Amino acid sequence: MTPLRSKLVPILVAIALVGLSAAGLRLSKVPEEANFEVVNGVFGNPVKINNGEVTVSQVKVGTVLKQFGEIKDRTDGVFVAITMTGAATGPKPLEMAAARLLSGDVRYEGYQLSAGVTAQPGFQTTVDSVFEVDPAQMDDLTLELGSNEILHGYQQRVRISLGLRPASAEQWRAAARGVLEPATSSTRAIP
Amino acid sequence: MLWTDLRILIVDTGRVWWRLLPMIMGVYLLGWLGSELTLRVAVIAGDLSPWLALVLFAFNFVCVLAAAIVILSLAGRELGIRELLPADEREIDDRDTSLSRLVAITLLPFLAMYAAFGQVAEAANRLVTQQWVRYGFLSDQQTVLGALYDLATRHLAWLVALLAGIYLLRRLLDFVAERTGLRILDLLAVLVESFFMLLVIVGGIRVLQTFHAWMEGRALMQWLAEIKAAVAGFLAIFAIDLPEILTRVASFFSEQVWPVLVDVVAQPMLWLAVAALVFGSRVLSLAELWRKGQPYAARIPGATAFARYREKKAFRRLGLPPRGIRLAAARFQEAFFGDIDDKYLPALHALRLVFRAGPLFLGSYIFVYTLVIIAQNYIDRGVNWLLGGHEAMFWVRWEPVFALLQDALTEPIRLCLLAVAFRRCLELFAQRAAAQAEQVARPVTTPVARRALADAEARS
Repeated sequence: MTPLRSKLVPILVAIALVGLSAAGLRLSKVPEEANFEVVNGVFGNPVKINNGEVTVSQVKVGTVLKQFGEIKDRTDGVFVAITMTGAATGPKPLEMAAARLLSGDVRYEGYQLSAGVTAQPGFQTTVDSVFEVDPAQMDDLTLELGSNEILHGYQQRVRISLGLRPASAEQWRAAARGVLEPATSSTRAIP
Repeated sequence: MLWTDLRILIVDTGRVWWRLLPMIMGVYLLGWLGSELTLRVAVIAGDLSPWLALVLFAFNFVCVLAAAIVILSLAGRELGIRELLPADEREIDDRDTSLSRLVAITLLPFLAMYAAFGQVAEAANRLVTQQWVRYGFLSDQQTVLGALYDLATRHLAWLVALLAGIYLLRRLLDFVAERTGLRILDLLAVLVESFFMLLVIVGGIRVLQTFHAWMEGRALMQWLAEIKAAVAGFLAIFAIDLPEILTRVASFFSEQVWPVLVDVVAQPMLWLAVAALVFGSRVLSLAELWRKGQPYAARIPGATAFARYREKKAFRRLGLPPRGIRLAAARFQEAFFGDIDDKYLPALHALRLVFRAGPLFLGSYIFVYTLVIIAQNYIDRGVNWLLGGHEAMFWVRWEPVFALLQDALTEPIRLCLLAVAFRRCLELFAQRAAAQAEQVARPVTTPVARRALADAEARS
């Protein structure tokens, strides 16, 4: 082995080991924004989570948003209202206040500040959560619900697909040309 | 050679860990218990005063770091690191005979490492979290964070004066400890230093934020923005989108290069350098001489890089000692450099030494060290997978237990690895020194070399 090669080879091997270490370390770490447990649910069926269960029962679309009898907003995109019910079946309140819609890598936050659902023990609350989405990027829309925590650990997040497959997305876009009036929230005791 | 290094690092670490398991686990658990107790006491003491909580919390680091130092020392003894020294070089250092002395003189560099890699900030966050849980987010009770925020934003001069006062107090304690030889003063100095670092890290962030907000309102920032826009406008002529390029370069550096440099390269290297301090300055000095191929030399105090600043000054000083103002200046310089000498210089010299162990060894060491950290990450993921998602309060309540589970399995292994890696460094230096000595002593045998020697002799 020439003197140059005898010096170069150990350096290259060391660099390769450092590269390997870096790759291994990166793979072993879960990014903070992805560090949660996904609980998959089905549209129309209740999904059990820590302090209760959540059900998504209806999806409505429109381009004009009407609230309390007045036109509140218009969009070039699509307003999507999702009817969801949260029931606090356990001894603690159900807190699923953070809601967003996912479509591939795109995330849509709620139109209002608190888009999710909360309920006190023994009660269930039904709300219509509104999202404004891009009609070109609404394939396979999935609702993600989690809790809004100042201190946070490894939490549960519910994901429910709204059934907007690429084949049916065009129908939804066509159906969106109208007024959308979300219902006001209602709370009642769990039957 | 690569396999030799990897095999030694993995097998010997496993062996030392297994042989010392009951002992190191006992020490580790004691350290953990002490740290958790001080955290709980500090949180309760916060009811009386946030400052009292911060002072008591300083004990937390002493518990954790003292346990780490003792484990390293035990592993070093098991590996016979001191026995690698030739008999006539094996001078007894007081850190070998007294555990309290060892802890007292090595805690400061360890604490500096903890601070550098964000572990002090992480511990401070735990204290803040526990206080939030105790008082609630909207409580009137002043927390540590609130008290420091108040001091940093409204009474900045007081904060600076407090920091200067604490620094002077620590130097005074160092001075008295050196004069009297009282070890309790060394430990007290470490406590004061822990408090100082907590204050700098938690309070310093607020000062930086205040300074940043103040800077944002200055005309200078507007000028800089205009210069940036002008340069970007000029480069746009050549179809170069400067802001976009700068953003991409910055994000590549911060997201790809920097984490690799800090987590993969700097952390293992610096920890090895700091761990080396536990094994004694005599070991380090000799390792340096081995590295240079001078195994038996320089026994004069102050001759090696690992000597104290004062000894080095005495070694280099020529003529009469200074008087008057010069004497005062020399004393001040000594006090200031003495602090750096205690905290950072030995670790920096040890780092310089470790770097000379060769790329193959360093690559192997980094690889094995990272394997331990990867194992730690997977234990964390395993705990999450096993328990599933829960509310934040669940994790706050059980965090000490899960952290113990994660760290008790990997931290002693990491410490054993540091000891094994340092012993391997010493072996490599000794081998190289022996090879160099042999090369010098060997007669010239090859025809080319014989001819060159004959030519040189003829010329002379």
